[in-house]
Amino acid sequence: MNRTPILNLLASTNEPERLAAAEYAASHPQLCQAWAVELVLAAGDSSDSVAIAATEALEMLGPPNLHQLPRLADVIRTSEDGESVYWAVTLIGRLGPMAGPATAALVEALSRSPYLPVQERAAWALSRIGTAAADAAAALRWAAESGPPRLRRLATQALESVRGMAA
Amino acid sequence: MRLPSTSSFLPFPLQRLAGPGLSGSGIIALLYLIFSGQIDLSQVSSYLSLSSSTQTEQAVTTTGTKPEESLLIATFNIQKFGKSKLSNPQVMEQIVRICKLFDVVAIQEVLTPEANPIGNLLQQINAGGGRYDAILSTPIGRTNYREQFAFVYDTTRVRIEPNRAYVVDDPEDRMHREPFVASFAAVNPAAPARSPFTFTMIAVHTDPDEVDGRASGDNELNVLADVFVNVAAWEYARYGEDDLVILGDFNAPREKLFGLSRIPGLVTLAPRQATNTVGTKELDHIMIDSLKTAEWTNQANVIDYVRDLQLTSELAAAISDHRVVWAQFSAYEVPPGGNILASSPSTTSRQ
Repeated sequence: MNRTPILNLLASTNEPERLAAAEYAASHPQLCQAWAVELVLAAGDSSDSVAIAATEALEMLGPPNLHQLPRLADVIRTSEDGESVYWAVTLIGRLGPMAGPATAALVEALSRSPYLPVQERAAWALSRIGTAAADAAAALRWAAESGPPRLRRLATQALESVRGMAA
Repeated sequence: MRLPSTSSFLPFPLQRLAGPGLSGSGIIALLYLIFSGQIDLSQVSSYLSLSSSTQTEQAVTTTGTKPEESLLIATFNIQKFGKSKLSNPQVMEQIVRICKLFDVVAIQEVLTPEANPIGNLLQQINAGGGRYDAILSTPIGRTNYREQFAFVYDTTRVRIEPNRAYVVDDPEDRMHREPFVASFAAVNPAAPARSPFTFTMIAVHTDPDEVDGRASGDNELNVLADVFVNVAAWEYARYGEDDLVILGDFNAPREKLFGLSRIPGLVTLAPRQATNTVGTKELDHIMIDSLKTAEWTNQANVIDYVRDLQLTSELAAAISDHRVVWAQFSAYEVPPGGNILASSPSTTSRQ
């Protein structure tokens, strides 16, 4: 499958076509980094089968291409689907320090998402970015003081990381 | 089912994970009944009689029965095992074929409970003459994407210990998918006077984003070390069980097992090789405490679907993105430090 057909299929209104594309990606995640954003959106598909296949692909996809960072940040800002935002945050975190420009989007996810797994993943992603996410310190401090237990723990770790104090 | 209260675990040291607690509502393991034959699986029996290059398969099929002196245990991440795979007869045929080779299979990534993939698998295994059963965890995960663990086992070879299956308690949410634990005992009609091998299995499936060196305090491989220690303490204190097998998809090679590698005696059994289907990464392991579990026969390996089962690479990829890892154990108890080869002379060489 080349790039154009799979992009078209992932955006198709026809569920079997979306499923075929997502299942291809799940079977060949190493070939699908170029479609990371489309797979992130597919993780929130109305079809459970499509969403599961996309999730499987995303789990094994590895870090996205750096040029996809702005689009992934846009997903955080614009998507109302918790699964899609969760995976956008996760992929950004996989980029590590290179994802510094997405700090503001991650802070938004940390502070405003109604979905706890998204908030936790945002703290995790900021921890991965480290000092390049120094602007997130205030939001992390808030989460470290007022969040549920796991979020508090992850935010505390991230706070140390963005301050350059991580072990 | 009588469940120990969470507080009963508190005497164990609470480290990064609380230990193997059970909660009545959150930990419902579903025991499947043996399915009677409804499907003609003559093809299954016929391929089992084929001259396969798989050493495991040969050992099982040359005599027509499994060896009495030993048990075969496997871990099998059946990628997205749900509706899609159930609807593919070719794939299901191979999954049935693989499961029938083993006495206990720890399966990861069981999806879509409404499609009953494990029930369907049992039905197909047993329609071909098997007498397999299974126990499942509840769906586990932090997001809408949730998976179940399953232990599929041959009831003519092992029995499951009642009231001893549980998902590890994780009150601080240290793991994305908490491990599933169950205990088994070998069924030994050939030598009832000998003590059957009893063992506890811990099935794991880590989150690949939480197993590397940058995962700091919540590195799931460090949490799994605590799980192993706490489950071992619990099972020994409560049941006198000293043989633990921790197995599954660790998403890490043997040299990057972090906390697990710091447990004295804990070893991964299969020879070093890739366990993903495309042959590029070692992700799956079967591990034991070699200082305590002398029942391992020194036989363990990985099934490469193309090389060993002579399948096409397309069919191999359709089965799963993971290969099966297996290990052989004595069917009888061996004291720590005992000589397994002396007590089990008929052990075949299958490495």
